[in-house]
Amino acid sequence: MLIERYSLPNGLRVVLNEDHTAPLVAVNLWYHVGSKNERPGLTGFAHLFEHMLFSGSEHVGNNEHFRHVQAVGGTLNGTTFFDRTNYYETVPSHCLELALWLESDRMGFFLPALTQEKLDVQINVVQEERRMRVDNVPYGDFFERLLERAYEPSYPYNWEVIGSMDDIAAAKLDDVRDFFSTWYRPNNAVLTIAGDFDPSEARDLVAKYFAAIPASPAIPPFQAVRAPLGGEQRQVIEADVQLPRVYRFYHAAPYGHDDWIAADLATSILGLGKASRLERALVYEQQIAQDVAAFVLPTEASGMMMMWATAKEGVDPLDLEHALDAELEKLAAEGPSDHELTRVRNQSETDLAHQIESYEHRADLLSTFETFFGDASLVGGWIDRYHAIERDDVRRVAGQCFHPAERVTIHYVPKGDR
Amino acid sequence: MSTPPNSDFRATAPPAASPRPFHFPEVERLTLPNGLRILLARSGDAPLTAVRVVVRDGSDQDPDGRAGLASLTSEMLDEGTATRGAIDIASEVADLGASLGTGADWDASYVALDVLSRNLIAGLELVADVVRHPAFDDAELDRVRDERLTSIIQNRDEASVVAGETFARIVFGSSPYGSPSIGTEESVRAVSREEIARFHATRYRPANLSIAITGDFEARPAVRLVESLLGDWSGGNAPERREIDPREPSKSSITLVDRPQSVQSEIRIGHIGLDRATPDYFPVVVMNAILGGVFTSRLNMNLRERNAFTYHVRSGFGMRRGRGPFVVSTAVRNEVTGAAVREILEELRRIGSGDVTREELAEVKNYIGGVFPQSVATASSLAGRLEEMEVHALSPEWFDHYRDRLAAVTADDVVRVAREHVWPDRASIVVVGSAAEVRPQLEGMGELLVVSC
Repeated sequence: MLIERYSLPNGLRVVLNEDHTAPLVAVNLWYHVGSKNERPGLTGFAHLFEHMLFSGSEHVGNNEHFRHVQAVGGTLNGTTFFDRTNYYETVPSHCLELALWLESDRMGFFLPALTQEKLDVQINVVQEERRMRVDNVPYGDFFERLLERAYEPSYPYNWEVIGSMDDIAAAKLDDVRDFFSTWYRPNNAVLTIAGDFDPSEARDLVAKYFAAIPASPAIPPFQAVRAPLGGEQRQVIEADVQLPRVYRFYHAAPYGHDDWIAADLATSILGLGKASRLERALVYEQQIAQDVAAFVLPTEASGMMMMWATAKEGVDPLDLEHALDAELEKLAAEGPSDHELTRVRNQSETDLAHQIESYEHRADLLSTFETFFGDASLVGGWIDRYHAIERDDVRRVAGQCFHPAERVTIHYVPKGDR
Repeated sequence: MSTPPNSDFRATAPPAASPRPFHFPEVERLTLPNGLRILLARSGDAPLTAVRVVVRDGSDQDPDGRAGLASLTSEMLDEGTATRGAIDIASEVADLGASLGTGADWDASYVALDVLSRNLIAGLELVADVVRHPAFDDAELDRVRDERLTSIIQNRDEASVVAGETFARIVFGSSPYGSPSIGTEESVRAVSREEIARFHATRYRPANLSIAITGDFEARPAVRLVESLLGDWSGGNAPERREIDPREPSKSSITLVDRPQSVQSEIRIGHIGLDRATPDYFPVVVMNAILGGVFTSRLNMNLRERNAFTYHVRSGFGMRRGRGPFVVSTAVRNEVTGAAVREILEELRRIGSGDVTREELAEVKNYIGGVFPQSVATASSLAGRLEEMEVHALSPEWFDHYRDRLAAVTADDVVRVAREHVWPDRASIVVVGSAAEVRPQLEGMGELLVVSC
């Protein structure tokens, strides 16, 4: 993969990946800010802000960003997560300049177009998004309930990205201005262009549109330190659900660490595919679970490992939890077999190949690596790091993660079943 | 914070450069003597290959009282074959770093494999085995049936699923489209192993099958393997199909499904739509995009960006082999439920009123035509296009002319198909929400039926 990296004098980091396979180009802009940069009382703000960034800038009217991109046959969106917010467009390759014009206008000229009316609309829209994803869905608040027990209130992974209803409603125009001025600066961003373009032309266009945007004197550093739980956190929640479900949260190493990769392999061994250990034991053999899941999230400050299993009708969630624990204990005691390890490494390799296949996902991956690890070209050696993890690494990391005193357990039970 | 200088070039959108030509990838087609069709196409340089088996019968062929038969049959394919157990299959798939999926939709049944190109041969061998030799073992069926019944129970809590199923029941009645394709508690219990085996024996026949292979792969060894694994599979002609011909409604109705805990109302509004073979395909796609098919559609700009009722709203024609639904879908907070229904109906009236602007038309035509190359840029997305050709018997040139036929759609076409195919006064309205809160808002809009969830 051809990767060129450089920075503009204002600190904007640029990643170019030229590939003429399809007549398309993906533009992907990461701002290194997410919900972990919010303050208590304004949870959900980074995501609300992402919505605001589609509401126009000085030269681009409200929702015109969407119109411009769609009118050339492009796709676009933005997403917010704990550590970052991304904005991206995939357009026919001859429309690269349009995408750069749009992204630079909101990086350089967002504030003049900001109005209270636009903020009011997006507060309502985001509240509807929360109702749709969290409040009107069975088990919909599980992630919030896990996080508030996994992290103390002062640690900013304590709340979910969507934020609370009250906090979303409390957002003020001044908060939007402050957030933009603090975080949405070229020296806190990575711009990746992947696909069918001419690199020298792309460098000229990037300079034309982004070079004049002033840097911020300083991006606030992230300084929170996570305290150990020092004892299991447990909760039983009665909810409008038909079946009980057991959730488990563990702390893992931060994304990018070798131990995160070992944790990723461990959760794949446990829960990826019908031949995985939990699937096989709980769903196939014992038939006490309807479904299982196990994965680790790519979070920068501290890794989040999660699992769940939905109980079959008539199965006590405590019995299900014990069956889950038996599998975890076994992995922590004995580690995986060579065969299992080879298998999940192959699965990781396929996953990566699929991400790289699409320009859109490839651009996002390059931005990920440039933002979190300081070098997009590390993508090239990523899968080798999976191959370097040995059975004993997985065993050791499983043993460390699955410590009973450092876990959160939540049972959802149908109302009246407590 | 200082702002950058406001250079002239920022004032308006930059002009586009000249587009690079795009052609739909070349597709090689072969038919084996037993009728099995093979389609091969290359996409990109990624070391990945997609394999899609299409069986041209789906849930639309479920017999009365056996909703879920096609879907259960497909789900059982990878739960054991004559020579492999369920876990063997899952293990082999995992060892290849592949993913194997089976399923049915209204029009067809499918087996899908995504695999590293270097493992294609082993993957194809597995695909051929699950398609041709499923064992339908009783113990595995008991487990799969139990999981299916559990899913059906879980769906009772999902307001969006309840809304979709209620809408289908009201619009399509006793037609197969009126039942969930995964089946009902009753029908799933009733399906026997023999019925599954018979569905497989009569529908999964080479003359009723296509295999599409796309990605970066060597064609000759793949074709030779398919020939050696499936070339001696006989089974006669494709079976007779039961055609779906649902009855058109005579008037509008409102059904409120009471879900007391709801903090948001799931809304579905629509009626019987069109089949995939409709001569109005392109005008309808364009009309629907303007109405509710893209982010900047009229419905989304109205309900989301003007009124802030919802996170999103969309409309769509489910163009199946038979006439599928036309439906507007959204979720809005309780207190604006009545207002949202009124705004949706108003947009359904407006689209047929003749006020489609040149800008709207150009934007959606450019959009649909422009994103088309993205829809064939990966092995799996290109495979999806080939599946579409096989399921709907599209001509081999269909996608070559796609962008030209789209470009030919006029504003008059849009207004005409809106008038012919969108019926605001005969729409079925389904709301799943808290009756205590939303019922008063829906009164006076037509005959209102309140049912419990």
